Amino acid sequence: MDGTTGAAPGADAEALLEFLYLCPHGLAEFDADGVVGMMNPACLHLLLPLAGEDGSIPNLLDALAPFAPDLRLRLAAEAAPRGLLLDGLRIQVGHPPQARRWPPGPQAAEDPLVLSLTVLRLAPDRHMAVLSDVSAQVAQERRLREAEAWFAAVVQGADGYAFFSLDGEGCVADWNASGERLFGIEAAQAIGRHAAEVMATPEAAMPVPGRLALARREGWHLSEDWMPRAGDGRFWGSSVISVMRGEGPEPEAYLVVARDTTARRASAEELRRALCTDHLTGVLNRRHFFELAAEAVRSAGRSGQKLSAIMVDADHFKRVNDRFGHAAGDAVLTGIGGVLRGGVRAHLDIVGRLGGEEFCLLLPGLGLPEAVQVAERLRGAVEALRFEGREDLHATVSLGVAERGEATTPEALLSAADAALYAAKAGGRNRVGAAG
Amino acid sequence: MTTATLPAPGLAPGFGDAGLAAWLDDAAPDALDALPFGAVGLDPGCAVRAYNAAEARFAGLSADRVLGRHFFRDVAPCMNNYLVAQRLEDEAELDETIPYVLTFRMRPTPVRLRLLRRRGGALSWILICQARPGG
Repeated sequence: MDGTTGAAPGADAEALLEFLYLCPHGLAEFDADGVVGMMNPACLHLLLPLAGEDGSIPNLLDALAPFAPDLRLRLAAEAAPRGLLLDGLRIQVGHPPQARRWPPGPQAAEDPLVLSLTVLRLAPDRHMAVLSDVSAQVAQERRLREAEAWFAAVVQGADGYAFFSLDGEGCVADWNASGERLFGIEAAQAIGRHAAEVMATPEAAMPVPGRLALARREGWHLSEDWMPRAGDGRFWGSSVISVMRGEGPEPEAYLVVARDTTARRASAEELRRALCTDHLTGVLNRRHFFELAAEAVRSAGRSGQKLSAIMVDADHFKRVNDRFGHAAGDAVLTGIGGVLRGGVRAHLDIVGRLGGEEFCLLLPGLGLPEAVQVAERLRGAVEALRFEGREDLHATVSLGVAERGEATTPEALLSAADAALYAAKAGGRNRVGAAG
Repeated sequence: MTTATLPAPGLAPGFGDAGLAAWLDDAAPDALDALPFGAVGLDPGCAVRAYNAAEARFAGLSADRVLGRHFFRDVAPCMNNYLVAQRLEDEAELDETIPYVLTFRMRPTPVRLRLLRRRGGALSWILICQARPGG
């Protein structure tokens, strides 16, 4: 142990000493048996959890042996007189007594201690060891692997979802099983193609380049639209495009999550229908009919367009119920509903059941003479109805037609049509009455 | 372990003497330099306020280079652990001597450390006595 009491060192030697004292990586010199010659403070600090009660590490290989049992053999097996014998060997120390990891780092409580060991042979009997604490790095790598595995499981297993990425130009950069399922194309067909061809139909409300531009500006873009599926055409889905930025101003990549929302759309459609239509006959229910009627009357008032109403009532309906039973009555109503729905212009005319055996139609754009023709056609169609298994059951309707004229509310228009209907009933039923 | 009494005025005290902390607080730099063992005085922020000649000789660092710096972070990270730094930080009053190993000039050197902290004392003291003086 000479050198500890020598003369005051020169400034160079002092600077060199300080340099080694403060080196954050452990440095140690050891002989072929592992006996330590020199060691810097960081090395002692790193090995303290392995040291004896007095904090001494007389032999490096002995100290590491419990955690790296083959270390001594590996070094002995290396015949080269000099050179790098180990480069970054990871030594799992595990959890030393908590107090020995002081000062505690942010991860000290949970992360097991892992040391990285590099050994350089300087001469057959002289080695340099470089030791680092890589616990945080190892823990980080583990968490990353777990996250990757978790994400892969979600991605590959999620049904009805697709996850993929686009490069900075908007071309598909990676593709997995989720995309294969949702879009029906394999990686070889998808990768390298522009997202516009892969995830959008030509009729898309917002073309993909525009969506990418919005994503660049806002960070992400959400859209709901038809998306293509190889084989069976298309599906209704929502997709989010989000931007991944690197150092530069332009995006390095985009992440896309696409989801098939057909089922949700179908159930929303189902709910809407249930709220708006008459369950038995399939025409609009009274509430929704009057909502649309008010709008139709207002619209006709603004535009000056013609508008006519046809009030429809099943003839002798009480008699049908009494004689054939309610099931027959329902069949008659269903039959009339079908005739009315099928006999008018889809998406334009408004057909509703106002209650009992009473129906009403609103015909935008039609004046009284045209509406009377429609009513006459409907009357004939109902009269021609046949009911399966009930050859003796017949149904007829009386109809009253009125044109909007001065009426500013649906009630006024319907009241006029009602008066015409009354006249038709009074005239012997199964006929059309016209107002005015 | 601190049964010896303080020496007569003018004589240097020994490593294990009782009342050493008070003596150290009042000692002039020359008196500290005359001690045969290392003595490092730290203020509450762990900055080095006293660094005697013996310690400078052991470590190979001059007092000029060390004074004013954070001892555990910038001078002696080998003592930045639960055995030394944590004890001085945690305990308001401390007089404990422990066997230890220091890496003076990269040579692992068995020493005895005496950690002194006196309630109301200006400085905490770390005293370093080489177990085998002169190696």
